[in-house]
Amino acid sequence: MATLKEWTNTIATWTTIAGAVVGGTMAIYQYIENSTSARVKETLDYLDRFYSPPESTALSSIVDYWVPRADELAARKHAGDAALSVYVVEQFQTGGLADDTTVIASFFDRLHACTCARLCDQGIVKRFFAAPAYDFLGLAYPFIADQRKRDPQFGDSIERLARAQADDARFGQIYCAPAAAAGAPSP
Amino acid sequence: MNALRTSGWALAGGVVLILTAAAAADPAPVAPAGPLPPGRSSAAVVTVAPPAAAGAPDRTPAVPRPTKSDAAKALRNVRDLSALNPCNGAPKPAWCK
Repeated sequence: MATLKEWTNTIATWTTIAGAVVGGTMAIYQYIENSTSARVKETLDYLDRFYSPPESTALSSIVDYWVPRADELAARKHAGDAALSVYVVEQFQTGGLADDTTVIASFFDRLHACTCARLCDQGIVKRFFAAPAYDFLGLAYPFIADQRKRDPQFGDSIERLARAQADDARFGQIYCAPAAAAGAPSP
Repeated sequence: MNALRTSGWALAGGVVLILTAAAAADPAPVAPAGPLPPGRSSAAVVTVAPPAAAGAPDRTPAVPRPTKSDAAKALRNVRDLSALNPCNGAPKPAWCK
């Protein structure tokens, strides 16, 4: 009889322990799953924002302005970096594209904050936003560099994303590195 | 008696584990950035929305979906931007490297 009681006690103990462990694991799993889906949803909301005004109209203004100037842009590119830089800065200023560039830069700043606070999904950010950031930086870099004389952080998030996309393994490190560790701005 | 004590500790451990997970899901209070509005002496505490609980209604205001023409135009812009990027194709400007 004593043996039966001992066995019952042992089984009760281990059942309780197993129940506690399974319950705790389930709670943690549930939390992680909810966090992931919230991150994905938040990032996809950013994608919708990027495709809607004012971001879409700002990008539209910039692209629509530059498309008729594509040949001249290519010619300046072959003339050298200095000639290209001067032309790009001049066109952004005379074309009244400063505000549009600020809207785009501000969008990427918010996306950067969201991603680096782990509220947005890094994989989705890379998949959908890295290429536009790279292309925008390639075109607008001289103007962004010019704006940095007044605001040293201007366009920083676009540049981080553009540079991070080239390195799959260190994407998060490069994109979310503290300002001092991100390296000096390019020429 | 000994087994009863052990099972009590195990139960308490499980409860602590669940409470820890629940606390981690709670929003962390953060102070809003920027200057205070006139007449306010301290920053109101706001909360960051926690991940939605399973089955709970989504309280986040929905971002309006772009219209079909907005989305199409935006995708065209992204493609045109790629064609305009001086970093695509040689010679590459210094800032592309």
